[in-house]
Amino acid sequence: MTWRLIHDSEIIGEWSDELIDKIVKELMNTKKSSLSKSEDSSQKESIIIVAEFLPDPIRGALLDLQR
Amino acid sequence: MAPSFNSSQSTPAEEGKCDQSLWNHVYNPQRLQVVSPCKSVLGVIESKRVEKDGDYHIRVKLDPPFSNLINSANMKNQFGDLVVEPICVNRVTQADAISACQNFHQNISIPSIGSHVNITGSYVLDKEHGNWAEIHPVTSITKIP
Repeated sequence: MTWRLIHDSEIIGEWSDELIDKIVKELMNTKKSSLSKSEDSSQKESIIIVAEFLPDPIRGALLDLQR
Repeated sequence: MAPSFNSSQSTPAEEGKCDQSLWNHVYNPQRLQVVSPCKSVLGVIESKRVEKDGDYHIRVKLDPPFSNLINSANMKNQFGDLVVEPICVNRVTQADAISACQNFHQNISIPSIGSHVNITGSYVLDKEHGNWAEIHPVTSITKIP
C-alpha cells in the first residue's frame, strides 16, 4: 500500500506503508490513523493524505522540514 | 591480477555507465563530496517526494550486498535508507537552484513505491546534511524482477 501526499492538487510525495509506520513511530503520540480520514484503509492500494490537513509535526516529518 | 576495489569505489564495469554531464546541472555541487563517480546499487524504493530544487528525494532500502553504502547519518535521518536524487525533474522554485536547471529537464521515470530497482549514478556524501550517503545525480533507475 502506498501513501500519497497531496498539496494544491498535486502529488508531492509517496511513502510505503512500512516507512509510514517508522515515521509515525518516531513521532510520539501520533497514530497512523490520524493521517487519513479513510475509515477502512486495509483494502486499498493507496491512501491519499492532504498536506493542509496534517498537523505540523507530521507534515514536517514527511517532508523532512526539520532535518 | 585484477585490481581490487573498495566496495564504495567504482568497479571497472561501472565506469562509463554514468552521464557525467549531469553534474553541469547540480546546483552548488561543492555541497556534495564525491566518493565514487559511478556506482550501481540494487534496492527497493520506500518513498519519493518532490523538492523545491527540482530534484526527487527518493529513499531506497538497499539489498544486503550494498548495505555498507549507508552511514550513521542515513541511519539517523533517513530510516536507514540510501538517498537517491534525480535532478531537474520537477518544477524548480528554490532561487539558488533555478539557473542549474535552466533549459534542462532530466527525462527519467521513477518506478512505483515498492519496486526493486537498479540505480546508477554518482555515489556522494551530502555535506549539508550530516554527510548522509546519496546517489546524486542519477543516470538511470530501472525496475528489475
